[in-house]
Amino acid sequence: MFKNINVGTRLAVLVVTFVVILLVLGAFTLIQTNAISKAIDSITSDHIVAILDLTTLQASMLELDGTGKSHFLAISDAEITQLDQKVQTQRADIQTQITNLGAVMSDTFEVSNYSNLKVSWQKFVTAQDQVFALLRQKNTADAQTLTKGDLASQFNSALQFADDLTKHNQDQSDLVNKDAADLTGRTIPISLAIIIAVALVLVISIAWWLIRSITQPMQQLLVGVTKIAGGDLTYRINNTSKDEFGALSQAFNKMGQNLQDLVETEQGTRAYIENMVTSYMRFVGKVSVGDLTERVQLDNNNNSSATSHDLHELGANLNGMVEGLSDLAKRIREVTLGVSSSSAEILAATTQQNASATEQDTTVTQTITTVEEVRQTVRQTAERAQAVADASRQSVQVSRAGEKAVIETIEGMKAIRERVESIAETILVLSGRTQQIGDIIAAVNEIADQSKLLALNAGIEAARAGEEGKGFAVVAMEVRQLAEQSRQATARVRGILNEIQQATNKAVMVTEEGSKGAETGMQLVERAGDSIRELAATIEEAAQAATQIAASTHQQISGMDQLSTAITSIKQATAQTAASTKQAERSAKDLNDLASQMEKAVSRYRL
Amino acid sequence: MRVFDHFSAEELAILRSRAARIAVPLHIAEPEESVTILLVKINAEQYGLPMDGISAVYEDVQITPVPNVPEAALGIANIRGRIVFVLDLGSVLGLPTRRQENENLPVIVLTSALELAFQVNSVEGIETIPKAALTNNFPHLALTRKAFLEGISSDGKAVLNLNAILDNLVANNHSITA
Repeated sequence: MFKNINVGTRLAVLVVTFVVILLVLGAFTLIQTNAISKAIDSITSDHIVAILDLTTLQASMLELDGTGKSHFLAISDAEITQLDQKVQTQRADIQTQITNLGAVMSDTFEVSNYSNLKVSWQKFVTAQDQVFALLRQKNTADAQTLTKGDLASQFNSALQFADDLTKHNQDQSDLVNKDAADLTGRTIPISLAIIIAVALVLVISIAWWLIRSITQPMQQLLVGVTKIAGGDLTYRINNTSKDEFGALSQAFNKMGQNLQDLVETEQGTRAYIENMVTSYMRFVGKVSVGDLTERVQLDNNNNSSATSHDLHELGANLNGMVEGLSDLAKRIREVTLGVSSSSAEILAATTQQNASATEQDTTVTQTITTVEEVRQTVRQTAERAQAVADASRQSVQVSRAGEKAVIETIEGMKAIRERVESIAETILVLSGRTQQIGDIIAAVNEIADQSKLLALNAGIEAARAGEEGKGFAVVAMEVRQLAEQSRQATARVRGILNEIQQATNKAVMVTEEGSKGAETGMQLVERAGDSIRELAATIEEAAQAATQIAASTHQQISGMDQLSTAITSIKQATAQTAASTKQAERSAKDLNDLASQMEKAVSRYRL
Repeated sequence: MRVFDHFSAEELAILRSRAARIAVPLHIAEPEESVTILLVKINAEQYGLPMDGISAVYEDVQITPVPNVPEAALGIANIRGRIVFVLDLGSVLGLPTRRQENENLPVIVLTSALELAFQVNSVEGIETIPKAALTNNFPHLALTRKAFLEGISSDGKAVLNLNAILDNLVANNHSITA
């Protein structure tokens, strides 16, 4: 029933309860204070005044009684008159006091006694006047009798009424005082205690309810917040109250649901991102090892989140990047191939050029040396040309002697040819003999075989002859061994004959070649004779030419000097060229290496 | 021309001394019983035929086949005017034969009254073996008919028992000798 009351109202209820309790306590205290005040007023303004008035009245009456009794002692009239006046004054005062006393008479007892007091007073005044009258008459005896009789009776009666009234007022005052004392000493503390106890119970109950109605949902909320903080987003608070905590619980549940939805969405997004990132990483891994044929599978689903869009754009950009990289690598590969080819050609050309330059340098060096040698040679030639000219003349004579010797040589060669032909014929005869020896050896071989068989049969016969045939058996075995040796010897002879036949054939061919060689030699000697004759003529011309050469070689020497200078310049230029070529070769080699490296670097990409 | 004419006097002296040395009996003091055998080869194995049963050895013998005879009978041959029946000794002994076409193999004529000759793969020579050296322990020999064997020498030559072989031939096949 309190769940639908909001917290402000609950606090207001607590405050109002406090205020009501305070008001009740104040009213109660005020009422009790008024009662005490009334009691005090009743005592002070009623009973105490009445007692004082009654006491004053009794004193005045006692004084009047004394004054009246003074009449019995008056001796003169003047004194009586004075006493009469005094009595009259006193009577007036007493009457005034009695009249005033009537104002404080409240209850019936007081009114009754007051009436009796006034009656007794009137009767006392009357009896006193009578006494006075008797005294004036000098009737003292009657006066005394009356005084002691009626007057005294009326006076005592009046005093008695006054005493009763005083006593009544004292009793009333005591009663009121006692009531007040009861009120202050017992009723008020008990009442206050009860009221405070009731108020305490009420306040504690309300406060307990209030605290419980606040702490319980707070505890639920605390548990819920702790669960959510611990990651349990499915926790919900079951609080359907209409107060602030109900609203807070609903808000908490909504927050939990929102958080759960958010986390589920985030988890989905994270899984999607992880999936895509894994795909991209695999793709990037393949690209990193050079596989440029790989493309990212772009996600075309309807996930239109910003992350999906970004990842899609990233994948598209990666594809574009790899596409560009692939094109670039293709172009680099083409260019590299071109560069590689060109650099190889350049390298080959420079290598060749270098080799040529080196060769050229060597050649030039050799040429310089040669030129120097030629110069020396020319100098020597110049010196020897003269000697040649002289020698040529001697050569003419020698050539003539040579011509004669050639004719003799031709004759000798003819004789050699005839001898060689004779040797060839002899060797052919020898070859035929060798063949005959082979036939004889075959016959000997056959004889050896038959001897072996005969020896065997002789052995058999010897064995059959028994003890007597033993010696023959040994001979037969010896014969058999000899036959075996004969076979071996004939085999060796056959081998030697084969070698002889081969040598003979070779000798026949050599003699044939010798015969041909002798013929050729004869022809050559004849040609040599012709040559010698021509040589003699040439030598004569050479002698003349040598003389001319001697003259021209002097000119050649100066020409060779110029040539040497020119070739030295060429050598310097060649050396520079060789250096440049080597530099170019190194550059071409570097370029070729670079092209190879680039080709290798590009070749790792699969396009 | 005599046989020894091509030797010089020195060579002849050497031959004579060698012949004298070989001709000396080895065991004069203790003549022991021995058997002289003709060593022949059948396939790769060496067999010895007792010399007292052999008449002669011939080569280049023309053998004429005879129909309707057992496989071991190669045919008949005319040897020095004698018509003899030529048997393949390997087949007679029950050994597998390995014969090539037109192979000129030696033929051993026996002294038997049956006019028989054995053809073998080759004739190795004559050898005398002490009978005491013959054993009957021949675990590695291909010949399984132990009755045909006289014994085995210490160097593995199987000495055949010609009488047992001839008795077996007569007992098993009269057509050969008929």
